[in-house]
Amino acid sequence: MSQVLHHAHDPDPAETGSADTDTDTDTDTDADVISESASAPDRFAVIFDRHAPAVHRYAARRLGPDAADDLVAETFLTAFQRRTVFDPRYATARPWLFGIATHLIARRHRDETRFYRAIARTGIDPAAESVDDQATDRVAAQASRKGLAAALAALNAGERNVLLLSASGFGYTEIAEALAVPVGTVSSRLARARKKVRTALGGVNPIDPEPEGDAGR
Amino acid sequence: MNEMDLLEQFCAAVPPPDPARLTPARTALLTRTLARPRTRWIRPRGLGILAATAAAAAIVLVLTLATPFGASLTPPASAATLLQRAAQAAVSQPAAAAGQYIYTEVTGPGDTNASAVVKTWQSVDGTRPGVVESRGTCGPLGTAQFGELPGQTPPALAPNAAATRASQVSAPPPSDTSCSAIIKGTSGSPPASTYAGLRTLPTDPAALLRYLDEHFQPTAAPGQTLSPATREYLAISDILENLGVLPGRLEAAMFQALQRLPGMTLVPHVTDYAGRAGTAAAWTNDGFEFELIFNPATYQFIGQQEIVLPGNRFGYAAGARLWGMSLLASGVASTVPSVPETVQFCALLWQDFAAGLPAGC
Repeated sequence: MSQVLHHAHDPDPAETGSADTDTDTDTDTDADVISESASAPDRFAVIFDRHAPAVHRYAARRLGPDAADDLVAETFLTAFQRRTVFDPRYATARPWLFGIATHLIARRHRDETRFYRAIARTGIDPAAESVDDQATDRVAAQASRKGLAAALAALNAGERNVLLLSASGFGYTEIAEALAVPVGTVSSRLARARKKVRTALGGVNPIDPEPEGDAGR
Repeated sequence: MNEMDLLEQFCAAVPPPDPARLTPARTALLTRTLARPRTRWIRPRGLGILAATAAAAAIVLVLTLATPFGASLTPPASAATLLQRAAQAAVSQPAAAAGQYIYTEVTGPGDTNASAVVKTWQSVDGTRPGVVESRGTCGPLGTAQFGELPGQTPPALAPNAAATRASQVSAPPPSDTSCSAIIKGTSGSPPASTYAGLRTLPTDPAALLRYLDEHFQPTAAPGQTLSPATREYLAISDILENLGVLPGRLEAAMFQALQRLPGMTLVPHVTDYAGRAGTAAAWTNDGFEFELIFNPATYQFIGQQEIVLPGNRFGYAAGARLWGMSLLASGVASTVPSVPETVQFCALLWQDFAAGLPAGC
């Protein structure tokens, strides 16, 4: 509750608004920073600055940009609260943070489903760049987006978790680490999820085979 | 192009966020990093999937704090007088028996932008599962906070959530998020985690201070030392925050012990987090004023808050309330409400981590 414990290098709260300040000039690993944050809590801001943009993108993909704002806040507050249980053998906190975000997102799976259904219905993706950027491929892009969103809406939370972590660039081991499940579970769950999406897409929008650099993008 | 390629495109289409979007989250985090570490022994507990018992909540409210306050009350002349009257009010509190539950209803900051109302039923002796119901916070700052694993820093009641920096005259309304959870029995926990355990603490003010000195170990930042008086204040503040209803003689001893601390000041008129008028005994440290707030008519303890003093070196606006909790009601209950299985899951976030599969909540 209180502000009794402070440190000489506390950032001025009045200036904490800028997310990309000079806080991350150090070369410490995430594990080092988190370890230091046990006694110097404000060090945790470095973790935020390093990873919040990526977590936001991930959350925006699954819940929309507005909900992502809150989710990022929740994710980092949770991570901060649990910083003493971060396993220092992992140099990067990325899988850990995405794991927390994923669990928080999964608790809103009805919101997520609604979000995908809205995309499936309208073809408009509030999380993505303006559709005007893609005007040339607009019809095709909307069609594939609709199909994909409909397929995602039909998955359960566990399947979405592995699928969207994978599509966000995580490998099996990292996903296993993020979700605290065995790698084999990730593998089988991902296979099942992919199959469901493939089947759903097959019924909605035959995207492949397709000519390179053409519609479907 | 297969389905994974499409999905990768789907993810890659999301642009990086405008830095301004991240500002509130970063500010909330930094505010939280400034928060005082909790004591290690106050209230460790974990959640478990225990069968919900008791069909209805038959709460016997022996004490209701939301009484209307008179406007023309004359505040006591000093903090010492206030604390003495508070001690007198506390000592006559009815006792709770083993097998019963301590009921509290507290409001305070919940999730990042809303206040929360949290009702808890805690087993008097820690041998039975309790229940927590929260409105306005459902996430890790609220109900799930009770799911901290044993051995970790004990969670505070939900109002310990990130304080907003805004100067709040009145609390924001609770969001419509709500959650319930079972609190696993806390038998075997340190004494200060249960009402029954607290009955073993000394009720002589001097002995109580010695006990707190010995058992209360706030972690200080490197190079920083907390004065013994500050640590003692923090211990008492924490116990009041965490339990809500204390054995009367202990609560009286705590207020008498505070009388002995040099530098307790009287704040005759304060407004608490819930917007109620009160009279406070305050402790000042490093540009922050910590207030223990009392009903100005009955001198019952009704809440706490932390106010920024002018010239605060962290740049907070003078007068801002950084944190607050208001005890809306408290009492002794003989049963706990049943918690539907569908919502029990909500609060089991950290068990989900172990189990690996949150199926949705």
